[in-house]
Amino acid sequence: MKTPLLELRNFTVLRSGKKVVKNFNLLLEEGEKAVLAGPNGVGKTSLAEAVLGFLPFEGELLYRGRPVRTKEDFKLLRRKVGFVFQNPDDQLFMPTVREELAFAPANFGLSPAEVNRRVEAAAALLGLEELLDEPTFSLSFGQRRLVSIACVLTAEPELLILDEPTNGLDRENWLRVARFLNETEKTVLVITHDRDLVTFLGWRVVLLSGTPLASSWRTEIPDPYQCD
Amino acid sequence: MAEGRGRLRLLAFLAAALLIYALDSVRALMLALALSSLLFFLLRTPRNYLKGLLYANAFTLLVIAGLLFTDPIAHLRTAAVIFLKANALLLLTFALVLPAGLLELLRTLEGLGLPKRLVLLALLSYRYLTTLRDEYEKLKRAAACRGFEPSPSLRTYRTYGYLLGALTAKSLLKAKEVYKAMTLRGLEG
Repeated sequence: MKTPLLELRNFTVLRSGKKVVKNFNLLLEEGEKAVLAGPNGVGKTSLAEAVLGFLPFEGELLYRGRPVRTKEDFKLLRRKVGFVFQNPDDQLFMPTVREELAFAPANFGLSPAEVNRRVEAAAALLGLEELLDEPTFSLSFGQRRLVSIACVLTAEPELLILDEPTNGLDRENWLRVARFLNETEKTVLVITHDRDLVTFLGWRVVLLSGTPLASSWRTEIPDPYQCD
Repeated sequence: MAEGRGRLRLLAFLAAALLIYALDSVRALMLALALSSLLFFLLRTPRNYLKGLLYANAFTLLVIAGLLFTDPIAHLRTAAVIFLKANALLLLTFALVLPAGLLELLRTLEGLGLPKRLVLLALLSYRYLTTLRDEYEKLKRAAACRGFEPSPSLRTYRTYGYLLGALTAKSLLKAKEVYKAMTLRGLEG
Protein backbone atom coordinates (compact mmCIF):
# COMPACT_ATOMS: atom_id res chain seq x y z
CA MET A 1 0.00 0.00 0.00
CA LYS A 2 1.25 3.48 -0.90
CA THR A 3 2.17 5.83 1.95
CA PRO A 4 -0.15 8.85 2.05
CA LEU A 5 1.41 12.27 1.61
CA LEU A 6 -0.37 13.79 4.59
CA GLU A 7 -2.11 12.02 7.41
CA LEU A 8 -3.81 13.41 10.49
CA ARG A 9 -4.81 11.00 13.23
CA ASN A 10 -7.07 12.08 16.08
CA PHE A 11 -5.86 15.58 15.40
CA THR A 12 -6.96 18.08 18.05
CA VAL A 13 -5.98 21.72 17.59
CA LEU A 14 -5.52 24.06 20.53
CA ARG A 15 -5.88 27.81 20.25
CA SER A 16 -5.33 29.81 23.46
CA GLY A 17 -5.74 26.58 25.42
CA LYS A 18 -9.13 25.77 23.86
CA LYS A 19 -9.76 22.78 21.63
CA VAL A 20 -10.95 24.34 18.36
CA VAL A 21 -10.79 21.10 16.34
CA LYS A 22 -11.34 17.75 18.01
CA ASN A 23 -10.15 14.29 16.94
CA PHE A 24 -10.03 15.05 13.24
CA ASN A 25 -8.77 12.42 10.80
CA LEU A 26 -7.54 13.09 7.27
CA LEU A 27 -5.70 11.07 4.68
CA LEU A 28 -4.37 12.74 1.55
CA GLU A 29 -2.67 10.65 -1.13
CA GLU A 30 0.03 12.08 -3.38
CA GLY A 31 -1.56 13.76 -6.41
CA GLU A 32 -4.98 13.83 -4.75
CA LYS A 33 -7.09 16.97 -4.62
CA ALA A 34 -9.56 17.54 -1.83
CA VAL A 35 -11.72 20.24 -0.34
CA LEU A 36 -11.90 20.85 3.38
CA ALA A 37 -15.28 22.45 3.85
CA GLY A 38 -17.35 23.68 6.70
CA PRO A 39 -19.12 26.76 7.99
CA ASN A 40 -17.34 29.76 9.51
CA GLY A 41 -15.71 29.23 12.86
CA VAL A 42 -15.37 25.42 12.84
CA GLY A 43 -11.58 25.66 12.83
CA LYS A 44 -10.61 25.16 9.18
CA THR A 45 -7.90 27.82 9.28
CA SER A 46 -6.73 26.71 12.72
CA LEU A 47 -6.34 23.18 11.35
CA ALA A 48 -4.09 24.43 8.54
CA GLU A 49 -2.08 26.58 10.95
CA ALA A 50 -1.52 23.57 13.20
CA VAL A 51 -0.42 21.43 10.24
CA LEU A 52 2.21 24.09 9.49
CA GLY A 53 3.37 24.16 13.11
CA PHE A 54 1.94 27.53 14.09
CA LEU A 55 -0.58 26.18 16.61
CA PRO A 56 -0.18 23.40 19.18
CA PHE A 57 -2.01 20.13 18.63
CA GLU A 58 -2.63 16.72 20.11
CA GLY A 59 -2.74 13.52 18.07
CA GLU A 60 -0.54 12.62 15.14
CA LEU A 61 0.61 14.46 12.05
CA LEU A 62 2.42 12.33 9.50
CA TYR A 63 4.05 13.51 6.29
CA ARG A 64 5.03 10.70 3.92
CA GLY A 65 4.48 8.37 6.85
CA ARG A 66 6.92 10.18 9.13
CA PRO A 67 5.70 11.89 12.28
CA VAL A 68 6.14 15.65 12.36
CA ARG A 69 6.73 16.89 15.89
CA THR A 70 9.81 19.01 16.44
CA LYS A 71 10.61 22.56 15.34
CA GLU A 72 13.08 21.13 12.83
CA ASP A 73 10.45 18.74 11.43
CA PHE A 74 8.12 21.69 10.83
CA LYS A 75 10.88 23.71 9.18
CA LEU A 76 11.36 20.87 6.70
CA LEU A 77 7.62 20.42 6.28
CA ARG A 78 7.15 24.09 5.40
CA ARG A 79 9.58 23.62 2.51
CA LYS A 80 7.33 20.96 1.08
CA VAL A 81 3.93 22.41 1.90
CA GLY A 82 2.87 25.69 0.32
CA PHE A 83 0.26 27.65 2.23
CA VAL A 84 -1.85 30.41 0.71
CA PHE A 85 -3.28 32.64 3.42
CA GLN A 86 -6.94 33.57 3.59
CA ASN A 87 -6.10 37.25 3.22
CA PRO A 88 -3.36 38.05 0.68
CA ASP A 89 -2.46 41.15 2.69
CA ASP A 90 -1.32 38.89 5.52
CA GLN A 91 1.02 37.15 3.15
CA LEU A 92 2.57 39.81 0.93
CA PHE A 93 5.24 42.19 2.19
CA MET A 94 7.93 42.59 -0.46
CA PRO A 95 8.02 45.85 -2.46
CA THR A 96 7.41 44.43 -5.95
CA VAL A 97 5.66 41.39 -7.37
CA ARG A 98 8.96 40.05 -8.74
CA GLU A 99 10.64 40.24 -5.31
CA GLU A 100 7.57 38.70 -3.73
CA LEU A 101 7.72 35.74 -6.11
CA ALA A 102 11.50 35.41 -5.70
CA PHE A 103 11.37 35.43 -1.89
CA ALA A 104 10.93 31.67 -1.30
CA PRO A 105 13.42 30.33 -3.88
CA ALA A 106 15.98 32.94 -2.78
CA ASN A 107 15.54 31.74 0.82
CA PHE A 108 16.25 28.20 -0.37
CA GLY A 109 19.61 29.44 -1.67
CA LEU A 110 18.89 28.73 -5.35
CA SER A 111 20.93 30.37 -8.10
CA PRO A 112 19.65 33.70 -9.51
CA ALA A 113 18.98 31.98 -12.85
CA GLU A 114 16.83 29.30 -11.19
CA VAL A 115 15.03 31.90 -9.07
CA ASN A 116 14.28 33.88 -12.21
CA ARG A 117 13.06 30.79 -14.06
CA ARG A 118 10.64 29.98 -11.25
CA VAL A 119 9.41 33.57 -11.04
CA GLU A 120 8.71 33.71 -14.78
CA ALA A 121 7.02 30.29 -14.76
CA ALA A 122 4.72 31.09 -11.83
CA ALA A 123 3.86 34.51 -13.27
CA ALA A 124 3.01 32.94 -16.65
CA LEU A 125 0.83 30.29 -15.00
CA LEU A 126 -1.37 32.91 -13.35
CA GLY A 127 -1.15 35.62 -16.00
CA LEU A 128 0.96 38.01 -13.94
CA GLU A 129 3.76 38.70 -16.45
CA GLU A 130 2.72 42.32 -16.95
CA LEU A 131 2.66 42.98 -13.22
CA LEU A 132 6.08 41.64 -12.26
CA ASP A 133 7.67 45.04 -11.69
CA GLU A 134 4.60 46.66 -10.12
CA PRO A 135 4.56 47.52 -6.39
CA THR A 136 2.60 44.78 -4.62
CA PHE A 137 0.46 47.21 -2.64
CA SER A 138 -0.71 49.06 -5.76
CA LEU A 139 -2.47 45.96 -7.09
CA SER A 140 -6.18 45.23 -6.87
CA PHE A 141 -7.39 42.65 -4.36
CA GLY A 142 -7.88 40.05 -7.10
CA GLN A 143 -4.37 40.61 -8.41
CA ARG A 144 -2.93 40.39 -4.90
CA ARG A 145 -4.74 37.07 -4.47
CA LEU A 146 -3.11 35.74 -7.66
CA VAL A 147 0.30 36.99 -6.47
CA SER A 148 -0.23 35.27 -3.11
CA ILE A 149 -0.74 31.96 -4.95
CA ALA A 150 2.16 32.55 -7.36
CA CYS A 151 4.59 33.39 -4.56
CA VAL A 152 3.89 30.00 -3.00
CA LEU A 153 4.23 28.18 -6.32
CA THR A 154 7.81 29.45 -6.79
CA ALA A 155 8.78 27.32 -3.78
CA GLU A 156 7.59 24.32 -5.88
CA PRO A 157 5.78 22.67 -2.96
CA GLU A 158 4.62 19.06 -3.05
CA LEU A 159 1.38 19.92 -1.32
CA LEU A 160 -0.57 23.12 -1.74
CA ILE A 161 -2.98 24.24 0.99
CA LEU A 162 -5.14 27.21 0.07
CA ASP A 163 -7.27 28.93 2.68
CA GLU A 164 -10.43 30.41 1.14
CA PRO A 165 -8.68 31.18 -2.16
CA THR A 166 -11.78 32.64 -3.82
CA ASN A 167 -12.87 34.96 -1.01
CA GLY A 168 -13.74 38.43 -2.26
CA LEU A 169 -12.88 37.77 -5.92
CA ASP A 170 -14.79 39.05 -8.92
CA ARG A 171 -15.95 36.50 -11.48
CA GLU A 172 -12.92 36.86 -13.74
CA ASN A 173 -10.39 36.27 -10.98
CA TRP A 174 -12.60 33.62 -9.40
CA LEU A 175 -12.47 31.68 -12.66
CA ARG A 176 -8.70 32.14 -12.96
CA VAL A 177 -8.16 30.67 -9.50
CA ALA A 178 -10.70 27.87 -9.99
CA ARG A 179 -9.21 26.90 -13.36
CA PHE A 180 -5.69 26.94 -11.92
CA LEU A 181 -6.81 24.62 -9.12
CA ASN A 182 -8.42 22.25 -11.60
CA GLU A 183 -5.43 22.18 -13.91
CA THR A 184 -2.51 22.00 -11.47
CA GLU A 185 -0.94 18.57 -11.08
CA LYS A 186 0.06 19.15 -7.48
CA THR A 187 -1.56 17.60 -4.43
CA VAL A 188 -4.03 20.22 -3.28
CA LEU A 189 -6.15 20.82 -0.21
CA VAL A 190 -8.54 23.74 -0.57
CA ILE A 191 -10.13 25.11 2.57
CA THR A 192 -13.36 26.83 1.69
CA HIS A 193 -16.98 27.51 2.41
CA ASP A 194 -17.53 28.68 -1.19
CA ARG A 195 -20.18 26.28 -2.48
CA ASP A 196 -19.69 27.45 -6.07
CA LEU A 197 -16.05 26.39 -5.86
CA VAL A 198 -16.88 23.02 -4.31
CA THR A 199 -19.36 22.40 -7.12
CA PHE A 200 -16.97 23.64 -9.79
CA LEU A 201 -14.05 21.49 -8.63
CA GLY A 202 -16.03 18.33 -7.98
CA TRP A 203 -13.29 16.97 -5.71
CA ARG A 204 -13.58 14.83 -2.60
CA VAL A 205 -15.09 16.95 0.14
CA VAL A 206 -13.99 16.53 3.73
CA LEU A 207 -16.33 18.20 6.18
CA LEU A 208 -14.98 19.63 9.38
CA SER A 209 -18.29 20.38 11.06
CA GLY A 210 -19.15 16.72 11.58
CA THR A 211 -22.57 17.19 9.98
CA PRO A 212 -23.39 15.38 6.73
CA LEU A 213 -22.80 17.28 3.49
CA ALA A 214 -25.92 19.11 2.41
CA SER A 215 -27.13 18.04 -1.01
CA SER A 216 -27.36 21.71 -2.00
CA TRP A 217 -23.55 21.88 -1.99
CA ARG A 218 -23.51 19.82 -5.12
CA THR A 219 -26.73 20.52 -6.93
CA GLU A 220 -28.01 24.04 -6.48
CA ILE A 221 -25.09 26.11 -7.69
CA PRO A 222 -24.83 26.70 -11.44
CA ASP A 223 -21.56 26.01 -13.22
CA PRO A 224 -19.70 29.37 -13.25
CA TYR A 225 -18.38 28.61 -16.75
CA GLN A 226 -21.95 28.93 -17.99
CA CYS A 227 -22.30 32.40 -16.46
CA ASP A 228 -19.85 33.98 -18.91
CA MET B 1 -16.84 46.87 46.18
CA ALA B 2 -14.24 45.70 43.64
CA GLU B 3 -14.06 49.22 42.27
CA GLY B 4 -13.40 50.60 45.74
CA ARG B 5 -10.63 48.05 46.29
CA GLY B 6 -9.12 48.95 42.92
CA ARG B 7 -9.11 52.63 43.85
CA LEU B 8 -7.55 51.90 47.22
CA ARG B 9 -4.81 49.83 45.60
CA LEU B 10 -4.05 52.51 43.04
CA LEU B 11 -3.98 55.29 45.60
CA ALA B 12 -1.74 53.21 47.87
CA PHE B 13 0.54 52.56 44.93
CA LEU B 14 0.76 56.25 43.99
CA ALA B 15 1.53 57.29 47.56
CA ALA B 16 4.15 54.56 48.07
CA ALA B 17 5.73 55.16 44.66
CA LEU B 18 6.07 58.87 45.37
CA LEU B 19 7.64 58.10 48.72
CA ILE B 20 10.15 55.64 47.24
CA TYR B 21 10.92 58.11 44.47
CA ALA B 22 11.75 60.76 47.07
CA LEU B 23 13.96 58.49 49.20
CA ASP B 24 17.69 58.91 48.92
CA SER B 25 19.13 56.94 51.82
CA VAL B 26 20.39 53.44 51.01
CA ARG B 27 19.14 52.07 54.30
CA ALA B 28 15.63 53.48 53.78
CA LEU B 29 15.56 52.13 50.23
CA MET B 30 16.60 48.68 51.49
CA LEU B 31 13.65 48.80 53.86
CA ALA B 32 11.39 49.93 50.97
CA LEU B 33 12.58 47.00 48.86
CA ALA B 34 11.95 44.58 51.71
CA LEU B 35 8.43 45.95 52.21
CA SER B 36 7.66 45.83 48.46
CA SER B 37 8.85 42.22 48.34
CA LEU B 38 6.71 41.37 51.36
CA LEU B 39 3.69 42.98 49.71
CA PHE B 40 4.42 41.08 46.48
CA PHE B 41 4.29 37.74 48.30
CA LEU B 42 1.48 38.63 50.72
CA LEU B 43 -0.84 39.68 47.88
CA ARG B 44 -0.08 36.39 46.07
CA THR B 45 1.05 38.15 42.95
CA PRO B 46 1.57 35.75 40.01
CA ARG B 47 5.17 34.53 40.18
CA ASN B 48 5.64 34.79 36.42
CA TYR B 49 5.79 38.59 36.86
CA LEU B 50 9.26 38.04 38.32
CA LYS B 51 10.43 37.33 34.79
CA GLY B 52 9.71 41.01 34.07
CA LEU B 53 11.92 41.90 37.01
CA LEU B 54 14.76 39.97 35.38
CA TYR B 55 14.37 41.81 32.07
CA ALA B 56 14.17 45.19 33.79
CA ASN B 57 17.24 44.39 35.87
CA ALA B 58 19.21 43.53 32.75
CA PHE B 59 18.71 47.16 31.73
CA THR B 60 19.34 48.53 35.25
CA LEU B 61 22.56 46.55 35.56
CA LEU B 62 23.69 47.91 32.21
CA VAL B 63 23.22 51.47 33.51
CA ILE B 64 24.97 50.60 36.77
CA ALA B 65 27.86 48.96 34.91
CA GLY B 66 28.26 52.13 32.85
CA LEU B 67 28.37 54.22 36.04
CA LEU B 68 30.85 51.97 37.81
CA PHE B 69 33.00 51.79 34.74
CA THR B 70 33.61 55.55 34.80
CA ASP B 71 34.40 55.95 38.52
CA PRO B 72 33.54 52.96 40.75
CA ILE B 73 34.20 54.56 44.12
CA ALA B 74 32.36 57.82 43.51
CA HIS B 75 29.34 56.10 41.91
CA LEU B 76 28.94 53.09 44.18
CA ARG B 77 26.29 54.78 46.33
CA THR B 78 24.38 56.10 43.29
CA ALA B 79 24.46 52.62 41.74
CA ALA B 80 23.00 51.12 44.94
CA VAL B 81 20.27 53.79 45.04
CA ILE B 82 19.33 53.14 41.38
CA PHE B 83 19.21 49.38 41.89
CA LEU B 84 17.17 49.49 45.10
CA LYS B 85 14.78 52.17 43.89
CA ALA B 86 14.11 50.44 40.56
CA ASN B 87 13.43 47.07 42.17
CA ALA B 88 11.28 48.47 44.97
CA LEU B 89 9.14 50.38 42.44
CA LEU B 90 8.85 47.41 40.11
CA LEU B 91 7.80 45.01 42.86
CA LEU B 92 5.28 47.55 44.05
CA THR B 93 3.88 47.89 40.52
CA PHE B 94 3.69 44.12 40.12
CA ALA B 95 1.90 43.76 43.45
CA LEU B 96 -0.58 46.63 43.26
CA VAL B 97 -1.12 47.64 39.63
CA LEU B 98 -0.50 44.81 37.14
CA PRO B 99 -2.88 42.15 38.53
CA ALA B 100 -5.83 44.48 37.94
CA GLY B 101 -5.35 44.45 34.16
CA LEU B 102 -5.45 47.45 31.89
CA LEU B 103 -9.22 47.72 31.58
CA GLU B 104 -9.81 47.80 35.34
CA LEU B 105 -6.89 50.15 35.80
CA LEU B 106 -8.30 52.60 33.28
CA ARG B 107 -11.75 52.38 34.80
CA THR B 108 -10.22 53.12 38.21
CA LEU B 109 -8.27 56.05 36.80
CA GLU B 110 -11.46 57.39 35.21
CA GLY B 111 -13.14 57.06 38.60
CA LEU B 112 -10.30 59.09 40.08
CA GLY B 113 -10.93 61.91 37.63
CA LEU B 114 -8.78 61.09 34.59
CA PRO B 115 -10.47 62.71 31.54
CA LYS B 116 -12.69 60.33 29.55
CA ARG B 117 -10.93 61.25 26.34
CA LEU B 118 -7.55 60.14 27.71
CA VAL B 119 -9.06 56.86 28.89
CA LEU B 120 -10.53 56.30 25.40
CA LEU B 121 -7.17 57.08 23.81
CA ALA B 122 -5.40 54.63 26.11
CA LEU B 123 -7.98 51.95 25.34
CA LEU B 124 -7.69 52.48 21.59
CA SER B 125 -3.88 52.44 21.79
CA TYR B 126 -4.00 49.19 23.71
CA ARG B 127 -6.47 47.66 21.27
CA TYR B 128 -4.37 48.65 18.25
CA LEU B 129 -1.07 47.60 19.80
CA THR B 130 -2.58 44.14 20.11
CA THR B 131 -3.80 44.33 16.51
CA LEU B 132 -0.35 45.43 15.33
CA ARG B 133 1.28 42.57 17.19
CA ASP B 134 -1.14 40.10 15.57
CA GLU B 135 -0.53 41.58 12.11
CA TYR B 136 3.22 41.36 12.60
CA GLU B 137 2.92 37.74 13.71
CA LYS B 138 0.93 36.93 10.55
CA LEU B 139 3.60 38.50 8.33
CA LYS B 140 6.33 36.65 10.19
CA ARG B 141 4.46 33.40 9.64
CA ALA B 142 4.08 34.24 5.96
CA ALA B 143 7.85 34.65 5.73
CA ALA B 144 8.48 31.43 7.67
CA CYS B 145 6.10 29.57 5.34
CA ARG B 146 8.35 30.55 2.45
CA GLY B 147 11.56 29.32 4.01
CA PHE B 148 12.72 32.49 5.78
CA GLU B 149 15.07 31.77 8.66
CA PRO B 150 16.57 34.79 10.44
CA SER B 151 20.35 34.88 10.44
CA PRO B 152 22.90 37.65 10.95
CA SER B 153 22.90 38.60 7.27
CA LEU B 154 22.02 41.59 5.15
CA ARG B 155 19.20 39.59 3.59
CA THR B 156 17.61 39.04 7.03
CA TYR B 157 17.85 42.74 7.95
CA ARG B 158 16.37 43.70 4.58
CA THR B 159 13.51 41.22 5.05
CA TYR B 160 12.74 42.63 8.51
CA GLY B 161 12.80 46.09 6.96
CA TYR B 162 10.22 45.00 4.39
CA LEU B 163 8.12 43.34 7.10
CA LEU B 164 8.08 46.54 9.14
CA GLY B 165 7.38 48.57 6.00
CA ALA B 166 4.40 46.37 5.15
CA LEU B 167 3.19 46.62 8.75
CA THR B 168 3.42 50.43 8.66
CA ALA B 169 1.55 50.61 5.34
CA LYS B 170 -1.16 48.29 6.65
CA SER B 171 -1.43 50.27 9.90
CA LEU B 172 -1.83 53.56 8.06
CA LEU B 173 -4.53 52.11 5.82
CA LYS B 174 -6.31 50.59 8.81
CA ALA B 175 -6.08 53.87 10.75
CA LYS B 176 -7.65 55.72 7.81
CA GLU B 177 -10.47 53.17 7.59
CA VAL B 178 -11.14 53.32 11.33
CA TYR B 179 -11.13 57.14 11.21
CA LYS B 180 -13.68 57.06 8.38
CA ALA B 181 -15.85 54.60 10.31
CA MET B 182 -15.68 56.76 13.45
CA THR B 183 -16.49 59.93 11.51
CA LEU B 184 -19.48 58.20 9.94
CA ARG B 185 -20.71 57.40 13.43
CA GLY B 186 -20.57 60.99 14.50
CA LEU B 187 -17.07 61.44 15.97
CA GLU B 188 -15.91 65.03 15.83
CA GLY B 189 -12.48 66.25 16.78
